[in-house]
Amino acid sequence: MWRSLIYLDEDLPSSIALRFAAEQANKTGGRLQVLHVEDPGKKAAPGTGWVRRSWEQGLIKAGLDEVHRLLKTEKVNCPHISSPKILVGSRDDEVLNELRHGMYDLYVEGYLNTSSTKDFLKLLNGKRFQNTTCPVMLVKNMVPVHNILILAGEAVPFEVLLPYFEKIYGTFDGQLDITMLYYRFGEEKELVFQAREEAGSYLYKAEEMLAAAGWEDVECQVVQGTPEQTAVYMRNYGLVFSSFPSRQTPRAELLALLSNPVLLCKPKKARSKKAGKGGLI
Amino acid sequence: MGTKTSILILDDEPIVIKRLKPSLEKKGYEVEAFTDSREALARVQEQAFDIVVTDLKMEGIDGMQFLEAVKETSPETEVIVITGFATMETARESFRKGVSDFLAKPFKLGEIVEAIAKAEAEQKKKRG
Amino acid sequence: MKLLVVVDAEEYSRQAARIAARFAINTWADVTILALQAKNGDTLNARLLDALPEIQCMFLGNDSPFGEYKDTGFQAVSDGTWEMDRTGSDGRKQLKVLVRRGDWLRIVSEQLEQEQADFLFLGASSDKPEWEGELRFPQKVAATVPCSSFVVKGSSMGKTLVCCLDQASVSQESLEIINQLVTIQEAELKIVGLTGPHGLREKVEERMMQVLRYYTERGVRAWVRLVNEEELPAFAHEASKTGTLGLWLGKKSLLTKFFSKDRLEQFITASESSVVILK
Repeated sequence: MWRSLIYLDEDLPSSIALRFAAEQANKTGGRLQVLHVEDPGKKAAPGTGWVRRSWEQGLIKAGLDEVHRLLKTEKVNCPHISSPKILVGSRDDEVLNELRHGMYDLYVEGYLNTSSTKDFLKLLNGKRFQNTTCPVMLVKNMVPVHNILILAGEAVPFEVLLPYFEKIYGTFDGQLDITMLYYRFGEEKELVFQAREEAGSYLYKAEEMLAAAGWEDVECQVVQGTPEQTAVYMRNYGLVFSSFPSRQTPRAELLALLSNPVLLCKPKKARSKKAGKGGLI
Repeated sequence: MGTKTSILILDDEPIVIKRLKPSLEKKGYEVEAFTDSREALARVQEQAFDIVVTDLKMEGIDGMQFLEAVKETSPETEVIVITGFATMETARESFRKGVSDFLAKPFKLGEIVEAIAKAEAEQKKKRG
Repeated sequence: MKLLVVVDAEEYSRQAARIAARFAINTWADVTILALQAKNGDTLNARLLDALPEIQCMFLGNDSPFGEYKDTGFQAVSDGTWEMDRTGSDGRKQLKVLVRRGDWLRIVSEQLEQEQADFLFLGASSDKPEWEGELRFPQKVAATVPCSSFVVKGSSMGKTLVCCLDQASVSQESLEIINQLVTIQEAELKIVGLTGPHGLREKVEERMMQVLRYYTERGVRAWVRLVNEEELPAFAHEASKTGTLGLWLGKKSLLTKFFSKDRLEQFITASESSVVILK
């Protein structure tokens, strides 16, 4: 059983995130804790004591109404959603605090792709995502999950990613096809499919580990191309599972271009070990 | 059953029912409307309707199953199928199962009223 | 559903008729094929007379609701209007074939009104923005008529339908037309919301939520994304390379600001593939 914190406002990204996360929770036995943060903005809290408490209560009530409206409109059928938590403060700080204290396995947020991949990369490189302690799921679209693509690359050893994957999708109820895609950047005219050996022993080992964890018949592919070409190729997957990308790498660009929901793990060990070698993709 | 032509409408979109029911009643039809296919099924097993208007894609029992059930219980009932997702297969299957008409959305109220009038005339002709 | 298919004797009209026929046979729509001929011809144009039997046949076949092939000639029904006599074709749905002469834009509007059509199809050439010397005729029709229209370029509508959303006027009819298009074409639906300098406008966002909910509840997979207003023409042009582009252009549409009548005409002319104007 995994526990996730899902951040909701009354907006389109939240609507998509809620529907997607609820479906994943239903299929995997996960639990969702809804969080909403009321940002008082630049205005200082009025006074102290009773005055301040009433002001905060007013904000909390407004936030609660907002979240309840969304939950009611979306009519999401998920028995494992806990009562919403409404906090007052800065969104980054409150989310990070809640994640630290709540020992969550996953943090979920909605995100809509824009014309510029910079917006996505700015979000990933911002305070909230740089400091999360657990994997994050960014839901860009409401897609049914029948297949998951694991985006592999030498930057992160697969044994670091596998426990996160198992924790969430180990108990998936239904048919779930898994593809391991070993991605290499290349400025080709079109996406080039290479032999599995081109990925060295990475895919063989990963496949063995997945089989040992009960995931048989994993499809393994090695591709080389631009992030744009690869994103188009990956569009039919219900979810893309990847390590948290380093700044300004082709992998980060690829994750920004994808329209699919992405689940990003932050394996600290692998990051510090490999980051200095300059071989990140 | 009275002398009025009886119509059962089944569509899980309340807006369709809301538009259609009063308009048909105004034209002198006896109309019962349902958004739940199971409730509609129970009703057609209780009483034979002259005309049934059903959507194809619904939660629970789909329109095609409903159409079969109606024809099995009451072969004389004229069935009009409406659909928001028309494919060659659905159109073909509907006709194989003996529907009177097939209307894809969007349609105007007048089109369904016209289809009902045609089905009514057809039924009267069959009954002599 | 009622369709109006506007044709002349050129290849682009055959392509439009083929796509319209597929749509009509799947939806059992009532169809009027309106052939337009030169404004000053007193007799029926020979090229049109050659083209129309072939166009009629596109709507017929084993699974067609339009009955059998019938062409017992055209009867003059009024000054400048001839109708094909399809008596005895035994169709369950109407397939009317008309030839009309006169002011084409006015004729299309009149016929739409008369038939109470929900959706209009017409073809446009990829390289020449005109119909028999009438510059940007399909573009003008799409920009003017009150119902949704499909300006067909090329032989297929592609595997994606990218619909750009305006702020308020998304009609139920347009949502249903999209349902039918993506179902028949097995196309992927993408809904694009426009962002201004302050991000996504509240009303656009609300509408996108409603539209997305509408499709999700009906099992239609719809992808969403945002595009900055200033980048819309470039984005729309890029999207038209891989599939059909849909533009919601209602009376209160925000998109009308970007696609004024003139710019819409230019855009359709420049588009590499078909364009659906949703109203």
